[in-house]
Amino acid sequence: MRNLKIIALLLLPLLGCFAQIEDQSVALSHNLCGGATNCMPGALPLGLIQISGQNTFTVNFGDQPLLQPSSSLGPATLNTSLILNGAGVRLQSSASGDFKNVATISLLAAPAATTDCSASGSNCTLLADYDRNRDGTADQSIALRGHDVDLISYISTTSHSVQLQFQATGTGPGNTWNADVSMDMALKARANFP
Amino acid sequence: MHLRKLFVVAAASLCVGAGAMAQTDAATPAQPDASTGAPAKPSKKKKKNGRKKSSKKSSRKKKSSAPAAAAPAPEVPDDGEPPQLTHQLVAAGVRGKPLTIAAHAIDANGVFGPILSVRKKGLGAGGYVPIKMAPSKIVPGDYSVDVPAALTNVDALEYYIEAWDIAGNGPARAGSADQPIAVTLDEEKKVAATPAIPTTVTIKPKGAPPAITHAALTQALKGKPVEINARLVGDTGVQGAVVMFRHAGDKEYKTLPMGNIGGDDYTATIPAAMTTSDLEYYVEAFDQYGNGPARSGAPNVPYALRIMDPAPAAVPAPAPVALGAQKRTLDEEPERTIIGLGIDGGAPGGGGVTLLVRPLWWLRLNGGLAYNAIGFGYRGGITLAPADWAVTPTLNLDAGRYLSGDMTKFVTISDPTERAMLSKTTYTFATAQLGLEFGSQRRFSFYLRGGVTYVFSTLSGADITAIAAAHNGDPNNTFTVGDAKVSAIAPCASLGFNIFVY
Repeated sequence: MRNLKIIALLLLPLLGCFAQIEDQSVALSHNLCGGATNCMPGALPLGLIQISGQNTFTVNFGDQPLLQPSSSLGPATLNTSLILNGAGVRLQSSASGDFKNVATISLLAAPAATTDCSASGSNCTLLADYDRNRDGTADQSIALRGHDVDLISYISTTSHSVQLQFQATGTGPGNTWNADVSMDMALKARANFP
Repeated sequence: MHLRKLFVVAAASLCVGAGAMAQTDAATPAQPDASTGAPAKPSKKKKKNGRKKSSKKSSRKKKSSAPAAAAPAPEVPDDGEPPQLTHQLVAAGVRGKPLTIAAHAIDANGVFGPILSVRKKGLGAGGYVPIKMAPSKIVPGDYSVDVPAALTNVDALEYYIEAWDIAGNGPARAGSADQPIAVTLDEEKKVAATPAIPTTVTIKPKGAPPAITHAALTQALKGKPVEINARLVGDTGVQGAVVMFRHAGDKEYKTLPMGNIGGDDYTATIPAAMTTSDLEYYVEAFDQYGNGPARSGAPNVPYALRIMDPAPAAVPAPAPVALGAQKRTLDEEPERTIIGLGIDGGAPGGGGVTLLVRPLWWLRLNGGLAYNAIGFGYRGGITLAPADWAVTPTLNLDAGRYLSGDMTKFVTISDPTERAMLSKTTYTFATAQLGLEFGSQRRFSFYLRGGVTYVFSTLSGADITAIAAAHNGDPNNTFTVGDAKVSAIAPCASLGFNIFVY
């Protein structure tokens, strides 16, 4: 019995064995209009921001290594998380005006491209948001505060993309505009042994 | 006068030659005998002539100087002093029985005599019968003589003793012709009726108990005999030397006679059957005359002799049990080695060659090169080996870093960007291992170790960005990735050997 305890004690450190990769700064920038064209109308009262006539815009992460909720790694299982720390919207051109009249803006993960997250039961998830009263008046860019949501579960394992949607209040830039949406994420992939 | 003549004749006939010689010597101590101290026998004629030619005073003076004049010069320079004469008075005796009279006389030049002069009480100065006292064969300086029974068949005797040295100095006296010592002689039955007066008067000579030199024993083995030795030195001989011993807690001592083993050395052996538990003992002895006891130790303050089990004594230092003992053993080891070479291999650490240095017997430092399939590196560490056994447990702590390794050997990756990142992998590691080492800690040992290793590495953000860009599914996306930290804790094992050469 005593020997068993000693052996168990010696093997105890093995229970803590793991392999891990961690990157606290993974940034993805996505152009809303898909190019230099200003696809967004100017001085538009904001609500659901449709981009190119769509309720959502798609961010394709590509077939990146590790961007799977879980995967087997030998005898271990690799679990990955991609936490959204925050997001940003930056006007592509100052000629379009500014975001000073934007009162609030929210970035949501939508289950489908046609979903209107303002509708009840839309089953959207708030990823990050901006409130002028809370965060101050924006100008050329808006910084959205993240809600520590793990994006992995929203990334399609087949298309490797996520459907995102902006819901806003206030008024948009005075002229047609285009913007780059950036997401600041933290990646952590860890495999525990055994 | 008639009675006096009869007395003298009787004494002379009983004392035979000795008595006659004593008469002569008493009158004129002459040439000493080198071996006995007794003077040579002078002729009566010579004695008479001497007396006739001198007055009383000058005759006495002549007596004193006669030995020096008649004999060759003594070997010891003349000290000019008569002998030191001590005598225990004899006050009573038994009529018709020999009467023993003893004296003690010493002189640096040697003693001539002493002469006992005895007469019947009441006779005149010429009634003394001189008798030479015989030296003791045991105690130097002791002399005694038995007054013959023929002379003790009277009511009382008177006597005195004179002694000279070989150089003729003297006489030293106990009593004198004018003031003799009186001895009352009683009937034997009276003596029997009066126990206070012994039938035989024995004069106990002076002496001293022997000096005891003994190194006390403190411990002995159970079931083994214990030999107790002592040196007993006494001017008046040694007798009754014993070891008194008892078991601790007992009241009564047992007596163990000591035997002389030559010179002044005595010994006694406590039998093995008695060495069952702790003992107490002391040594005591008397001289030939019963003076003593002299003691080493004492009944109330005996020496304590602790009886030990044979096992601990039979197994000396090399018992490989206590760490303290091992320390002592290794530190005192004349062939203690401190520098050596270690070669090992294992997973995932790979192999290595290290220089070993042992600043302390239980501590080894190592440092050297490391190699595994990823690449080369360096490492160092410490090993705690708290024993010097045939199989010694160890604790090993190492740390190191692999430089510019290529991890693509371990993964099947075709993506050039990923290969580019993995082809220049570097990592830092630390390991903790428990092991067993077989062999000598001082020379050669083979070992097996197992434990855990902690690996830490950093992947370049630029490389990861490139990988992400390569897998980008949307040209409208731009990835920017910072440096990634890779870490792992994994089991590890190794085997190797150490050779200490200096």
